Amino acid sequence: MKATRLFTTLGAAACALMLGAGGALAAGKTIDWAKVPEAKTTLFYPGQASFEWIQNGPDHGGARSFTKKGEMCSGCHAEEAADMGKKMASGQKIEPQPIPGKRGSIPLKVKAAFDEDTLYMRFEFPAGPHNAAPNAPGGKMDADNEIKLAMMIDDGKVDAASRSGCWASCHHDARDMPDAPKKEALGAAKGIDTSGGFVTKYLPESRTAVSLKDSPRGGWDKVKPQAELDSMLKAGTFLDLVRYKSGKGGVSEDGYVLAERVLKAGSGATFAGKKEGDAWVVTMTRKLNSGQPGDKVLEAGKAYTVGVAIHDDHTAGRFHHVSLDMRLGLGTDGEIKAVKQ
Amino acid sequence: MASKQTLFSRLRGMRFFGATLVGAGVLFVGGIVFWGAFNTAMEATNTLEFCISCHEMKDNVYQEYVKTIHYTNRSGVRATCPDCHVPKDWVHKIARKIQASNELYHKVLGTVSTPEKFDANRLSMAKREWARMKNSDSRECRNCHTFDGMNPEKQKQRARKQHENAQQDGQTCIDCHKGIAHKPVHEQLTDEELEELQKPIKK
Repeated sequence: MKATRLFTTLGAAACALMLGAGGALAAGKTIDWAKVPEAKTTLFYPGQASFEWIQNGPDHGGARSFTKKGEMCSGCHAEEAADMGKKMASGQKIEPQPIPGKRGSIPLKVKAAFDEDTLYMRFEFPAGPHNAAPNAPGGKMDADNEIKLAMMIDDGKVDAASRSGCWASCHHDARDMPDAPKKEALGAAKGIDTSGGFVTKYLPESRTAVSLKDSPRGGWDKVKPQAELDSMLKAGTFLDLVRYKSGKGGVSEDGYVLAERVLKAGSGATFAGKKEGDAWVVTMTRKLNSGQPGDKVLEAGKAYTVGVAIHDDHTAGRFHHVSLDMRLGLGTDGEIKAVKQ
Repeated sequence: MASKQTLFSRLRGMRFFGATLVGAGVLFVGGIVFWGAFNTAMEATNTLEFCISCHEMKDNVYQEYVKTIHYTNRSGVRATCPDCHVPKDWVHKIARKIQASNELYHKVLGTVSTPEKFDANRLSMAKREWARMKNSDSRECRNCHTFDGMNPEKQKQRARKQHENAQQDGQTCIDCHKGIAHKPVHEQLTDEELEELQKPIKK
């Protein structure tokens, strides 16, 4: 029995070593992060502020600036992200299920570098205390993963993403949002997978109609025909999505958002993450041009809109902290400037 | 003698708009007294104390107002009810006062005599006040606040951006600043109604 356990442990260790080696190999080379400039931003707790909510005047005082003046979310809110997060996390505003003690914001340090064929990124943020979520058994919505870190990338092909970042994909009828459809109604949707019991992220472009003002808001069940979605994917109308999950020794996922969130483990971007003292450090490598559907082709000299999200303290769904729209410039200007190494 | 009589009789014979000199003097002094009394009475109705002497105001909008920056702030400058709701200049003020006399009728009727009745009528009352402010280009706000007097560098990023946009588009204070001293009843408006209320003023 003991011998079996020993072999199992040795086997697991060998697998971990191989995976670790694979990660290093995928990275291609080691980046000297000390030489890379650091960008600082604040991720905030967004509550139920959806794509529809931000465009409705009675809900959001800045709706007119966004819809009529073409302002970016960051243009008004970048300097007050922490204050906003505090209001939502405490339940003072648009959060009907506050988690007692939840931090309202997370300071995030980001570094980025690139070479001929790869983008390298490094994310660092303080690990937070545990606060039991009242809506989850044992207080943990995702017991397997202490943290998850995700990033979406747009190259200007998704209408609202350059100004609103992730909000282009966050809707009033998604999981745990105010107009989320009941589970028994989910079967009505054609062309999306609702087997998880909820609607995931989607782009307005993937729907025949999205109700911004009239309840129920959103357009989860108004999915365009598959042929049209296929054309959009081919034409680049999607948000590239990569994600790191801290459980099971660290899982890297790659995918995209169009009609729904598509994520597959080990299919592109490679992450590594660990706690260093009181901080989480997560690094990522990704091919500039993977040639895979759902991956944006990144080019030196261009800037891309990115949004970063962190699920801390075993949270899931909308109970995350998010960044406003940011620019990732590859050798060019942006809040996050990737330098060539 | 003749000249004395002439002067006296001349004075007695003088007429100002058909009144004798004495009569004119009495009218003049009486006018001043009446004018002073009228204005004093009008000013007496132009105070926070007068406004909250009715329980309808004291129990509802006043309680909301005392929690806001227009009641208590860092510098101690207080804007009371008439500062926002009654014009400063005489012509507009008297017009507003005459209009407000309608409130006596509703006081008798008890239209807003309970918090429930007040809340039931709150949106329609607010809409009238927003329209009045919009039509005057937020004149009462501008007694204290002006775009020219603002230093955008000292404003928060969001306020700075919103004020820049408002200036460019010709918007007025009340277009955005609803519900700042009382309950945010504008949240009950539809987006279309709000959009209509926020339309830039034609100049």
